[in-house]
Amino acid sequence: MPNASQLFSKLAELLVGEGHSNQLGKVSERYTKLFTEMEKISLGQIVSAVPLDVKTIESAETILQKIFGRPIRLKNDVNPSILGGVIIKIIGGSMIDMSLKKTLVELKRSLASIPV
Amino acid sequence: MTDTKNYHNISEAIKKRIEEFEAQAKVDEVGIVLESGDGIARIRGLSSAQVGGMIEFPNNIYGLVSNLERDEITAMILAGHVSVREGDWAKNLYRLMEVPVGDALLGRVVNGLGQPIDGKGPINTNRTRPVESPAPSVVDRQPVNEPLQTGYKIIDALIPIGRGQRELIIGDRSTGKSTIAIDTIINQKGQNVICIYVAIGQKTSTVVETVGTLNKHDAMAYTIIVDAPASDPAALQYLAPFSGTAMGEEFMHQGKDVLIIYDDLSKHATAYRMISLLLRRPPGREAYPGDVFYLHSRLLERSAKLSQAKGGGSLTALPMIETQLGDVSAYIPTNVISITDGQIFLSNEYFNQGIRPAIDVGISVSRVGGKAQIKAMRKVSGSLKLELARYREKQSFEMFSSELEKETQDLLAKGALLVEALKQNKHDPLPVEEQIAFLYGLSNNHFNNWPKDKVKENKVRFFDFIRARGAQALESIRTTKDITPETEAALKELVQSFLKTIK
Repeated sequence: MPNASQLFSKLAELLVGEGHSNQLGKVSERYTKLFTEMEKISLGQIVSAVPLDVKTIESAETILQKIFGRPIRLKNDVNPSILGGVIIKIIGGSMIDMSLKKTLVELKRSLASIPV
Repeated sequence: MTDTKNYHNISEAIKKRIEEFEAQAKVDEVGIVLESGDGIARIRGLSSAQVGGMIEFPNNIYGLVSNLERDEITAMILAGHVSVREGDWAKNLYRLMEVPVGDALLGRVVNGLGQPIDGKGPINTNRTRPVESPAPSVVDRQPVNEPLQTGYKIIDALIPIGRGQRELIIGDRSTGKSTIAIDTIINQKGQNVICIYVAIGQKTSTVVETVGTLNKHDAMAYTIIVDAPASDPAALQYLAPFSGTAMGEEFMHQGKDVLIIYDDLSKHATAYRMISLLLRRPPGREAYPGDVFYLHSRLLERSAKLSQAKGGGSLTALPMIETQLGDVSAYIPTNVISITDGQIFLSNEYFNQGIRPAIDVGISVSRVGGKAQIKAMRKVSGSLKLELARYREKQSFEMFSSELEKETQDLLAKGALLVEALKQNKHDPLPVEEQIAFLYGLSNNHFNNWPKDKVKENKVRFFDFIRARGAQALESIRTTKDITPETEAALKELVQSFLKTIK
């Protein structure tokens, strides 16, 4: 791992040396949690049908900060199956679904419930 | 019905709904599916989920929260096994599992979630009830005091069932358990009883046949079928009886009388065992989980006769248990026997001897139904059970009949007559007043000289006769629920004139 930081290489060596490499996922999760707690931020994902530009993501982050009361860092993921709009997922268990697909599904449900 | 005006109305309704539609964005609590298989999903997150709560997976698939652990929860997936994948999100819906309830369900066939599966369109009701709800408390109940007529002479006379009672129907496979239940539904026509038939783990073809039979006898109008066939995931089979009970409770709390049939609880226990093992709960006796008793006791405790203050409605349960080779001492049969207020035991031996319904009166019992029996029936059925029991005791002497004393010979002859007389064809329930008229003749020894091979024919002729000539007496029994001295005289007269016709 020539490009890895010294700290990370040491950690990797320790885990492999102690035979705990299968715990890597949990270790990573724990470090992410510690990091977000220390920095008082949350990490998240913004899923969209087409790639978003930096400006859009930043404006989403500003709005989310108002909702959640703490800074949010978003990473853009592209998933054409949501058709349009965005889905925001925050690590730690929150989701805001504003996708076109969900809206259409809800409209379908609403129409199907019309008594005939 | 489908005229142009109607089309116009529908399109207007759709337009209006689209105009009113507003997309809402709200913050949901979600978790990530770590593992999914065999109808069980392990989910990381969802720390505010509650046991019995609903969660939603992508593509409108729902789950039922079953286990709560430190960082993860386990949920039953209420759909096909491959429908939820690792990495999918799971959203907390913050509500308990519910099913639609109300009059709109009558005449419908629904699955364990209350969704229609009969192709007759959506169910137009906006009322729901939680699938799991506490049983009525002590002060909300009153003792069973009204009969629920099954239409079978042998049951209504000897093992009477009251409204609000739980009477187990137990027996080997194909001994006529479901037939008794279905005939009981058919007999509720005009009795103001709403029927719910919960089919758990049955063949779809059997359920189709049942619906056909009920339709043929115009019984679907007051019946709801909750079907969780063998092809449904175990979670839906587990849920179905609770859903059916929730639908019944709605009517019970409206002051109506409801009959619910669980066909059968052995398969329900098996489905629950499968789920429990997949949820890694520790197995106990016969690999059933420790709470399998509680599973059935909390279900059957919801049957009740409500007090007058609560509207006086009732929920009568006829659970079924299939035994293996007549073994009632297996785990699940003993559990359910101890929970219910009595059992109707169907014997394979009797069934094969042609005694149908194949009820073994000796070990069948109704612990509370006697109090609900109408006075007229009590008057004519009092001695029958004892006579049958004594006959069964002495039956083995039948082969030496010529060497026996007169008393024993009479006992054997009467017993054989009773067995023959209490036989009844399926899907042919009898109104209680006709049963009483027949049992009057039987218990007062008027039919004692009927030859054994003539009993069947004579029975048919008796009922034809009494319907044609005894309308007044039957009406009196129906309205007074008693045999008045005048009615008794009329019955005696009728029986005697009938006996002359068959001479």
